[in-house]
Amino acid sequence: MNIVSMFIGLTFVNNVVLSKFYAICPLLGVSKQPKNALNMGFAVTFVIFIASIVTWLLYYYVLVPLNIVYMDLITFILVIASLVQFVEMFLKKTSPEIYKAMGVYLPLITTNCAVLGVALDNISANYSLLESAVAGIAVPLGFTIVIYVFALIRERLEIANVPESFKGTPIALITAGIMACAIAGIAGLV
Amino acid sequence: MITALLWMALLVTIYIMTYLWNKKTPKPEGCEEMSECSGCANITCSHHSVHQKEENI
Repeated sequence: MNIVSMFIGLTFVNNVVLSKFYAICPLLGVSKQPKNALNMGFAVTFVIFIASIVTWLLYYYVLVPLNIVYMDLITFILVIASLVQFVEMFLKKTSPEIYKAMGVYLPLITTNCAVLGVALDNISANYSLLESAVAGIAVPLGFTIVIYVFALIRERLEIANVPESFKGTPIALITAGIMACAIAGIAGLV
Repeated sequence: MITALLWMALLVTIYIMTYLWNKKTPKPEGCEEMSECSGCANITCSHHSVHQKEENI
C-alpha cells in the first residue's frame, strides 16, 4: 500500500475518533481548553508511536513463534500499561521539560482505547513494521487535530447562546456528531 | 497452556516492576504538584483536583 495514501487515509478519512469512535473519553474530558487538548494529543502521539512498534515486534517475534496468538489482547494491554510507566520514568529522569508539558496526561493514556485499538488494527490489517510505524504517527495525528479543533469549538460554545438544556455535554456530543458527519462525507476517498 | 501462563506471569511481573520503579523515581523540580487535573468531572479518578485538596487538608 502506498505509504502516503495510507497516512492521509488514517489521519483524515478513517479518523480514529470520528469514524471508528475510539478515544471518545479523552475527546469529551480533555477538550475544555485548547492547551490541554494539545498536550493530550502530544502525549498520545508519543505513546501510540512507541506502542505500535513494540506490539508489532512482540506479536511477530514472540506470540507467533510460541503459538500463543490468542494472548494478543492481554499482552497488548499489559505492554501498553508497562510502556506508559516506563516512558513516564524515562522522562522524569532525562527530560523534565517534556515531562512538564505532558503533565498528568501521560498516565491517563493507559486507559485510552485508541492506543490498544491501533495496536490491534496493525495486526488485523497485516501491516508491515514500516506501515505500523506510519500508522503509529498518522492515527494520533488525526486524534490530535480532532481534539484540538473540538476544544476550539467548545471554547466558542461556552460564550454562545445555547438553550439551557443543551449546555455542557449535550451540545458537545451534538458537535462531535456533526464533525463525524463531515468526516463521513469523505469516506472511501483513500 | 504452560507457555501462555508463563508469558502472562512475565508480563504481569514486568508491569509491577515498571510501576514500582516509576513510583520510586523522584519527580523533577517544579513538577511535584502536577498530578492535579481538572480536565473532566470524573471524581473517581485519583488525579482529580478533589483528591489533591483532601490530601492538603
